[in-house]
Amino acid sequence: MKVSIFPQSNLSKELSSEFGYNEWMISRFLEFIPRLKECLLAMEKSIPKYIRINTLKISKYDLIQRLIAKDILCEKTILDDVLLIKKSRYPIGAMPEYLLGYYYIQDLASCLAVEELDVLPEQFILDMASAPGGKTSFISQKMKNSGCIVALEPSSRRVKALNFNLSRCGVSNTCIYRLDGSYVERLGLKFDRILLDAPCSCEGIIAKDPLIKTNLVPSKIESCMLRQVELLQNAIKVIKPGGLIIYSTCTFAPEENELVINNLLEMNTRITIEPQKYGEPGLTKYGALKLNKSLVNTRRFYPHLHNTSGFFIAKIRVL
Amino acid sequence: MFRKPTRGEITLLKRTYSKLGCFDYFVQWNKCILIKDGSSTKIREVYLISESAGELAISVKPAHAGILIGRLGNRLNLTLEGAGIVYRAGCKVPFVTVNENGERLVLYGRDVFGQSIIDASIDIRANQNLVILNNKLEVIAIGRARYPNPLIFKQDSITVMNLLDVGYYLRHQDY
Repeated sequence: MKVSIFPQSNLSKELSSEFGYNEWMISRFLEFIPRLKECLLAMEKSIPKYIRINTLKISKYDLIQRLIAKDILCEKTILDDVLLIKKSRYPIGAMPEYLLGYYYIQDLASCLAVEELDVLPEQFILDMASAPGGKTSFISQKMKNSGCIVALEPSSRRVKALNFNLSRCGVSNTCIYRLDGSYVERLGLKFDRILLDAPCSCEGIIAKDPLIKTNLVPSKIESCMLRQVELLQNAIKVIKPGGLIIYSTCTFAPEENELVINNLLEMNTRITIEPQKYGEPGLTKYGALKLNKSLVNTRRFYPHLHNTSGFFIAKIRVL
Repeated sequence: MFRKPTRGEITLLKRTYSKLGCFDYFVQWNKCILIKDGSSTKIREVYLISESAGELAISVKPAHAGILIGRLGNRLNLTLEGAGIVYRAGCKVPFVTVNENGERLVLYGRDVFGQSIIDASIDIRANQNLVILNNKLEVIAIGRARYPNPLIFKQDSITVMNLLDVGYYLRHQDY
């Protein structure tokens, strides 16, 4: 499938020159991002810093007391274990508490993906693209280090980082396999829950990497989409009946989000999309395309509306 | 390849637990301990792992599993993570406690000066491995004493060498 390119307009020209984007990106964003100018302005600012308290190693109360003692101003969020850092005199990635694994620097939206996974202790979980380990360690925290998490990562360099982060966070219920998610069937295992935080074009984290504004090409979105469809189809093959798959990306592109899920719905009759608590409803119409109505249950997160990176989450129940 | 510890290895581990003064605490973990044989040396790695992850690690070989807590030769040598777990479990591990300035230096990979040490085990010997604690009594590094106690408090000289600290990986990461 080809990436939809929409006609240019005066507004798209104006916004692309003002914010330094490729014009084709802006003309696409105008189709599906509400209040686009606010969104572009939000992505010009530094992204909000969130930390996730690692309750495997420290209690929420104790960590907050330690942060207060260091004059770090933090605020509660919609998730109990996640704090928004408003002001800090020190880089939060170099504090002893971070090095000791008491917290993990992680975007709120990415924590929401794990929250929607509804994990229970003693379950058998698959994290299909797990490095650097933020979501994996949050899953382990939710399981109180019991059960088993299978973490897949094909790159040996990233496996090293993943292993370090899991050890730092005190995660002892994980087996890491140096394996591409497309080959997960080779393990011969079935899972209760699967998290697929798929590799994507990363439009949602432009604030972190502004080069995406000019370097992204439509073919990158197409190649990501093909990969995501492949990974998701493989996830379906290894989920137990009644199991849950969370599919997430950090991009706005409907081709990598709703269209991937729409494709899955067309190919499988035994899946449903479950509703979620937070975020904006997913698209059910894109350009001339009419999509499955249940895609309204998927969720989109925008920097200007949710104070997070751009993110997409779909909660897929396999019957 | 991960495997269950042999009877001999269990005896060796139990002897270490006993020496550390935390036999009861660790014996309950026996079913959650796995061994990984080194590829070229006789050193075996000891991993702490949840029961179901342990079963999987034995049947389907992973690249990594659980937490590496130590290396087994003639005795168990704890890793930094292992030392942290053991210390939190209330074991008798030789230690020095450093002040805030000392903590900062240790986390940058520096050795410990005598004046940074605010407390130490009474029975520290020269060249003995020990854990370096911050003033909140958390393990921040593994070190080696250059002097016995009380010379370990000697002003203006490095009295404990920093072998591995919790900031090491982040300082050397290449991703």
